[in-house]
Amino acid sequence: MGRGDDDGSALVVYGTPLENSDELSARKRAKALDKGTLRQQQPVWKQDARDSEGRRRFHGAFTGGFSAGYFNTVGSKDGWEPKTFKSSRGSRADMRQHSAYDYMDDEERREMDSKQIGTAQEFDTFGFTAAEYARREATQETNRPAVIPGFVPDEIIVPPTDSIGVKLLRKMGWRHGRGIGPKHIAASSEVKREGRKAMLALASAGSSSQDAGPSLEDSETAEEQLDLPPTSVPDFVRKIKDNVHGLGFDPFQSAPEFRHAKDYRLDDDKDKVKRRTLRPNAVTMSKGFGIGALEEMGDEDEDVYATGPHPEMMVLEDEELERLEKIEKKAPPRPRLPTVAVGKDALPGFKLASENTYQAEWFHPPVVPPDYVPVHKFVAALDLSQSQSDNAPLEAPQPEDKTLVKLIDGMAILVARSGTQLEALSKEKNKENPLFQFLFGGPGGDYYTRRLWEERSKRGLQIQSNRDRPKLGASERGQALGEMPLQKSALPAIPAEDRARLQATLNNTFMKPSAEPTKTNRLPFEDDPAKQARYEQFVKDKYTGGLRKMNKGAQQLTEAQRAQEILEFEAVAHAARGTVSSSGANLLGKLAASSDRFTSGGVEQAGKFVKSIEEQQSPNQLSVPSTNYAPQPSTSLSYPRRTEEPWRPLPLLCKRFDVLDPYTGQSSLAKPKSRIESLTLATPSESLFSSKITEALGSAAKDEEVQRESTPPVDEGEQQEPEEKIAEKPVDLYKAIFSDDEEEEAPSQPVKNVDAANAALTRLVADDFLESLGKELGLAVPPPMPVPVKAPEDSSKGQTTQDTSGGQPEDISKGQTTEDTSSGQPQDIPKGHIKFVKPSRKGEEPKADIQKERDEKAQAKDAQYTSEPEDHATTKDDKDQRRSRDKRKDKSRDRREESSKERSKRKRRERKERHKRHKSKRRRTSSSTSSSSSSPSPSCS
Amino acid sequence: MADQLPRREAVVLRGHEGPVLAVRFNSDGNYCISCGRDRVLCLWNPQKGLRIKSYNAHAREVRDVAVVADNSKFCSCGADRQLFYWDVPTGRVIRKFRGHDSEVNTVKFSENSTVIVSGGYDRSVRAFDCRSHSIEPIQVIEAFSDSVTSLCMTRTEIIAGSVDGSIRTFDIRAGRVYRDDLGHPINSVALSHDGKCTLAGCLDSTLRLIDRETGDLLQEYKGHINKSYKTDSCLTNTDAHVVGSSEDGRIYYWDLVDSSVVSSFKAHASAVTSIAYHKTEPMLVTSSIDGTVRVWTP
Repeated sequence: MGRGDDDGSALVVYGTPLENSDELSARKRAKALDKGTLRQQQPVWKQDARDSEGRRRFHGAFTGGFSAGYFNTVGSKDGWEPKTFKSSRGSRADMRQHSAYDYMDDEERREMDSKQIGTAQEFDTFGFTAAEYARREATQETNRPAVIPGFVPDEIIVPPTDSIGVKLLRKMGWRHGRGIGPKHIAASSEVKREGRKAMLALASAGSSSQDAGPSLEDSETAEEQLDLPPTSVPDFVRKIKDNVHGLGFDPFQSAPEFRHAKDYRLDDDKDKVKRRTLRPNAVTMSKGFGIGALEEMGDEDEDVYATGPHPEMMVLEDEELERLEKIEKKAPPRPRLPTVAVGKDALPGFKLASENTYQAEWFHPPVVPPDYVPVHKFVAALDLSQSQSDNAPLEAPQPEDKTLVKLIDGMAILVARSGTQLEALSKEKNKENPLFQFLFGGPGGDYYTRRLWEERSKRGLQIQSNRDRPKLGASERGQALGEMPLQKSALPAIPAEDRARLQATLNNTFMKPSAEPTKTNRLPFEDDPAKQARYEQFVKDKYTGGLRKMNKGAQQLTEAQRAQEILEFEAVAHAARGTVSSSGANLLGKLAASSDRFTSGGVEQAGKFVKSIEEQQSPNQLSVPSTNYAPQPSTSLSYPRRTEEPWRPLPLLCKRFDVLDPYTGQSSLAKPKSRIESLTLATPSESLFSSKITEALGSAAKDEEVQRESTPPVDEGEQQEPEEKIAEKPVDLYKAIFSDDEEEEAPSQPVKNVDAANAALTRLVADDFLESLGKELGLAVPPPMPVPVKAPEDSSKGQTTQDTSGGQPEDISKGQTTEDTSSGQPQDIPKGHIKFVKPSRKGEEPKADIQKERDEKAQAKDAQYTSEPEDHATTKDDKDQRRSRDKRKDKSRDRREESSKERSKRKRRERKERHKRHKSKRRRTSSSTSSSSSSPSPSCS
Repeated sequence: MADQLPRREAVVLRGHEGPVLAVRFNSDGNYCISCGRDRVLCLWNPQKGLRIKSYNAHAREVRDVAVVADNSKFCSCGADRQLFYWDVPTGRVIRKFRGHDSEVNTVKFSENSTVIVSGGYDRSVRAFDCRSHSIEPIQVIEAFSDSVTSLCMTRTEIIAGSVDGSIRTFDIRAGRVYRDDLGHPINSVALSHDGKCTLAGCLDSTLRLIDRETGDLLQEYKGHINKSYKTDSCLTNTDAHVVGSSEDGRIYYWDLVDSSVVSSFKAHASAVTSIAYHKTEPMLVTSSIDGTVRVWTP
């Protein structure tokens, strides 16, 4: 196409004609080279890559190097010259938003622009696109220095070409500058005009500006006569802005009548305005030069670009002033009221009222009552000051009349007590009464005043003394103010049992000093001189207070015994004091009262607690105070009641709740060790105790179970560790497990561990209780005997204990099998064992058993101690354990060939024996405690 | 004050075929979700009374539902022993948790919506993790001796009421459990908005207000009938009144302090199974055996 244009001929050529290189002239060749069409003809080594503009793309380095410098990419010789740093600190606003457009070269820009969709000029009906173009051009223009700085208003930039719409309109007879629209629209506007005229007529009624009306009408009628459609002259041309309001602001928008009023005024006062506007300027001008003082300033001298107040504003102000002057002349001076329009300036259509109805209201000041005293008097203080400052009335003799004297005395006291109001009241009441004439200065008046003064001074002293009295304590004040009393105990957070224990230990270690040492002429422990000595020491210490000293003779006593004794002493001392202080008084009541006063609940409980033990263990000992502690009705049955227990949230749960694990670092639950300990002390009754024991054991086992269930099966070693911590393992049991032969492979390890833990627990319990149980059961020290096996009658019990303790099916089955074997036909067990089966019964637990057990235990302990390092090693690291076991297994496997069947049998026997021993031990503890034996306890050990 | 209580029936939400067992507001209170014996969960707009969506996957009756704090998911539980974790817009089940050994009575989300805690007839409270893909519970708390009927959550505590008559507060931060024995089977547990009191609905037709710190009984509210059904109780959004539902279809309002019946009205034809009070506005929704959910406004 371009080619065709160049030639200017009508010949149309498609494609690029093949040119013979021979035919090319030098000029043409250069042209072709320029256009890049020649390279097809040139050999490859002579060709070079060029872009569409004919610029070389590659330079140097065997023409493969890409030059990023001046040649084709960057428009400078230096290429990518780094910009010098320019701080934008001071000119942050200058930071320009860069767009992709800024970084495009011409081609890309063209491409970009070609993508934009615009209206073709032929279809640009309203010339918007053309206008847009023009505007863009103009904005580009403003970037260059121009005569008029700033942006060019839109209205100035008009489309350079006529739009198709304009062209059509032209063809229809429209001329530029005319409005568009038919005549009837103009006709409709006529109605509006009529209405406006009516308004104007109303507004101008009574006003002097009637000459402006016709002129306006004239102009309008002229327009009507022309009968043309409205012109399209823009507003800013038609209405020249002549005020200082903001652009587009119309102060009369909602009140058009005022606008016209203003227009009239402007017309009316044209001359005045001119004269007046110069007034302020005259002042400023006089400072300057050019106009003499006497020179009359003409219109031409007006400062066109005056910076002073605008003429219009001045007009309004002046008018206001003038009007006010007129008003002042016409009307008599009266209060100026904002709402009332005056003079001829009343609103059109309104007439000024002949008389003013407005009356300023006047309020009188409040009447002060005649008896008002502007100072407040405090009654008591006044009395006091009066009695102190007043001169004492003269001493007056008593009247002869005794009744009058009495009356005066009484009256004086009363008046002094309750104030002068009473006097006034009685005066009022007894005006006519001759007896009360002393009030009015009659006979006895002097005496009365004297007496009154006396009484008042007395009272004043009392008040003073009242003031001196000690201030209220915090608790009393709190009570008076209705505050909640503070909790008595400083340890509210500690649970009751712990508190009790704490209190008990405190009691054991400290003692309160008592006020006065009481003489004890009575010896409460005459039969036991050592005890008596200790008691005396105790009494002596008691009145000094402080840390409890260890009595000389008390060393050989156990802790519990000492505590017991202290309590005993305490009680006796109380009793002794009671008898000393009030002989014949109710000792018990005293005791109870004193205990109430001095001991808190915790102490009392602890006391009861030890007492009960004392009662059980030594009924023949002093039991005077113990009977006094009547068992309180237990309040624990009332609802709601709260109990608190440790609970272990699993680490993941803590994590999900965004809470630190309260048991971090502790691998197991707080073990019920403490509970067992407390149980060992608490032996209120045997039946209860036994049930508790089983319960405790059950719960312990349950805890373990729960733990085992809830913890995900991690690693055997990890799982085992906690249990090992709790339970000191009996060595033999571990041996039983780990020195196993190949037959003992079936049961899994955790089960064994649980079993071991349970066994250890029971052993612990048995340990703790052995002494007391021994006493209770009244067992003598029997000779050592072989281990008895439970009778089949007992199997149910055995099972129950197993249920609570183990809960493991394998465990139970094992227990049952042992029992079966014991009752049935045993293959391996020697017959001697079966012999002991029959006599062992529930009630008559063989005494030998316990002694035997003790011996065994001692042995076991010894064994434990001796083999401790080994045991430690086994328990400490499970892997080691397993390794050692494996080794052992290997060894045993090696030995298997040589080992005889007898050895394995022997081992199995041993193991079973051990099992049985443990079982029986456990069973015995429960059965023996449950079987309530009330045999008298011989003092053993 | 009393006339601000919602007593006027605004909307009746019909759509369940059979008893509605629970109704709950979402976290901002603009929507509510109900579930029933027809094994369907329905999402409602309680202001307009529109049923927006129904969720159908449970095999047996649905007993409780809880909505996540951002309202994007909810969890339901029921007699099919499973917990369903749903996506609200798509209506798909995201996860089915292993659940309990028997019917699940109640379900709640932890405050940060990472853990679902449920209580069931198997005497246990179980916590499930929403973040992992495990369907096994994080922890199983088997401290109860009877069915766990109701749950409440605070930031760090799980409060569970059981038929064994105890409210157990599992304090995760302290690692302790506080057991408040009320002596009567507990039907519902609700927290006051200040978090200081627990309202426990007992099966002796009494609501009891318990001080959480000390475990003391602060007040008892009587007058309604609640002897055999699982019903709800709660406090109003201002904590000024206690709302209880009765088996004769009535709703009761008590004054929190003096425990006098401020108002009561017949809401349903038969026993009310569940109530939920709007968090900020005086608005109550009730569900009943009669198969309707009703919205009440002042």
